[in-house]
Amino acid sequence: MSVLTVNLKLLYQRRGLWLGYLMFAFYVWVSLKVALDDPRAGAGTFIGLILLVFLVGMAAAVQQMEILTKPMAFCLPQHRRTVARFILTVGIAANAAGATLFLFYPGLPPTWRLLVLGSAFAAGLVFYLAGAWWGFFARQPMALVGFSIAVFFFGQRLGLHVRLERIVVLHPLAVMAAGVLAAVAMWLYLTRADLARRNCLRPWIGFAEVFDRDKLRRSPQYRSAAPWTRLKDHPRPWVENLFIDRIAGSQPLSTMRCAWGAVYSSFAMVLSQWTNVLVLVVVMTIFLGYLGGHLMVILLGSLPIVAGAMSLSHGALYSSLLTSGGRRERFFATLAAVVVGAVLVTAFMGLVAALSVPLASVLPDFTVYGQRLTYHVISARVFYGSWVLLPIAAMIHLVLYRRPALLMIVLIAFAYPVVLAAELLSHDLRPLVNAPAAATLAALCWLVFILVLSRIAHRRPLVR
Amino acid sequence: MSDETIMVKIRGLSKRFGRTQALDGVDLDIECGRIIGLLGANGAGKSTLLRHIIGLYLPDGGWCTTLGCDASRLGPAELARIGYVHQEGELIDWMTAAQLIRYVSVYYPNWNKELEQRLVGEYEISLKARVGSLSPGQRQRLAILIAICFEPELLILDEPAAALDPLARAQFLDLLLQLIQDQKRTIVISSHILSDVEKVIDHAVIMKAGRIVADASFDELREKYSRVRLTSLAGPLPEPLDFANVLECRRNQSEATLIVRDLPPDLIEAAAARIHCQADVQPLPLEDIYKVVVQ
Repeated sequence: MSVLTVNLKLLYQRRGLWLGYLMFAFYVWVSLKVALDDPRAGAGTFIGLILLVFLVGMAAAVQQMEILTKPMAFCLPQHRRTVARFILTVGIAANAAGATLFLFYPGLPPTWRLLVLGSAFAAGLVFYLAGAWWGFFARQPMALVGFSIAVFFFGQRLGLHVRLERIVVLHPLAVMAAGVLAAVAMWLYLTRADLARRNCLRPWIGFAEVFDRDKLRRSPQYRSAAPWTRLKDHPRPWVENLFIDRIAGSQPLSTMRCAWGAVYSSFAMVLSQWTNVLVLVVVMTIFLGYLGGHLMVILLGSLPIVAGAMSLSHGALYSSLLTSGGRRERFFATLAAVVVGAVLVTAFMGLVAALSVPLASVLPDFTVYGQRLTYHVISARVFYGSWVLLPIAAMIHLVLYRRPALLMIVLIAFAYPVVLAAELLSHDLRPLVNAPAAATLAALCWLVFILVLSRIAHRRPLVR
Repeated sequence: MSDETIMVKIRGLSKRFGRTQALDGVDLDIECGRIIGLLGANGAGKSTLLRHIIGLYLPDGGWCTTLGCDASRLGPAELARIGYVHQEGELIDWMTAAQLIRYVSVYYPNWNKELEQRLVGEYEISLKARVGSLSPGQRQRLAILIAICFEPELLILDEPAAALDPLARAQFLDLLLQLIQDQKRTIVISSHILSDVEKVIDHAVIMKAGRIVADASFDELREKYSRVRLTSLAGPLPEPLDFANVLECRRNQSEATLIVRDLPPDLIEAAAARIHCQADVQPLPLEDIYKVVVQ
């Protein structure tokens, strides 16, 4: 068996990838259906597969990076040469399959169709290599997968898919030249002599490692311990003083002391990076304001889930620190952490909404690729969602603490209906989203969360 | 020492990470067939030195050649002769142990299947278990297995036994003893567990703050440093004791224990006879040699 073959086998040996393949197959099916059900030239319906190979490129690169970053791989004799061959082999196979969709593109003369096939292959290669580039360079490349759907939505609203398809069909030679250039550039990068050295022992989070708490915990520690960083990955002194004073000021062995400790350990880093949070507020305000209508609701509705996923609830409950807190103290400490988390998320969203009011009078309308974009004030009604969704997300975290992969699946399974409901039924739902209804629902969710938390804190094993 | 017999040659090697001087002008020759113990405290520069030998780190100053080739330019031909076990034993967690072994074995045409099967049995490695689900000790055994089954000429072991339980450590040492039967094999082993290392090494390199403070054969070190137990044969011991090169002295009225350097047994016995004492001279264990050297 050749070294390349044994690396290609990794693509099916890994059970975890099959879930990804399943989701990918769904998107492929959607892309084929959109293109073949109503084949129209210039409508942008044929470009789906070309965009999807971005994810294939990322997955292929992540696969190789997971090996490159391990010290055991540094001395594997032929591995360094295999990386480039692996990436290009997968790329050629994936894009050859993807480009065949353009065989069904309507209204092309035979010779031109051949050129378009080459062009589609090359365009796919560019996207594929962009995905691979992201996989090699980003510290946690899989984080992009979550955003990719939003990016595809946004691109679609701007009509980028139509424009891209036109470029592929009308300028095949230029696209092929771009494909060749991208392939050569990637080949030169992947065959450079110091590729293994640059990546070996690099603090990097791979595909399944997003479920590996130890690795995730070690990664920022590793970076902050590394002398080449500026030690930004630890709480700022003012945050430390603020919390330590509160902790020291409460009664020894009291529940309040445990609660302050839990809030400190959960949010010290968030508060320490408040300038980054403010930048995020500004970026999101502009982004969501221009998105306007229903998508804004979806994304804002997703925020509390993201916040819930920040492991804010279980840190205090499943603490490995042997503190003086018993089960009762851990219960209140966890509750305090989750409530503070909900307050912070609401404050974040409040800032976004408040900032959108003055921005609405300042930010101009503009046209991108024929789409008129108008800035909208962000409605405060979407904030109700946080107080409903956060306890649910926190509860999922608590219950599935030891099954991180399942936890992610359940969170996604929970988020998708919410997002789809907001997307498809936003006009019908809007009248229902009022203060009394939201307050009742939120109270119910919090009650259930408290009951579950109490059950786990008092009756279940709390081994980390 | 001819250049053909030298596996690794290091001259003036320096490496700095920010404000930390990890290596400071290190000179070292590693001869073919040697079992070298690289000893030192945490942060002494052992791992950094080993990573330079395989070309993982590039030096800020000086140079390092491994198997006759600039370490930063080691190619597949040279890498196929080097086995490396990293201290954290980080492997590809999602593979089963069998898949990992098969994956690594493809890279080496001279993979010893027989040795693989024997070690799998001896180390009780569960082939169907996912690497990520193995205990740290089992993972380290697996890391050792994949580093030695292609029978490398140069085997670099960076804290290989740190995660192993006493039984596994004993097995690992037995294995090392078998490996060193091959006269052409060179092993560099860094370890904190000095009592283990001293059973296998024939050469010790002791590091402190990025410098080599001792580089000698183990026998030389054992001859150089000795522990002397003095027992008075008549009355109390004199004050002070008339011994040269004393590094440490613990005493009471009638007995004393000295650690001495560069003092042959006959001179010790002569000196003891002068003060009416009986002298019991013993070689120092590696742990005590290490303490004396780094202090």
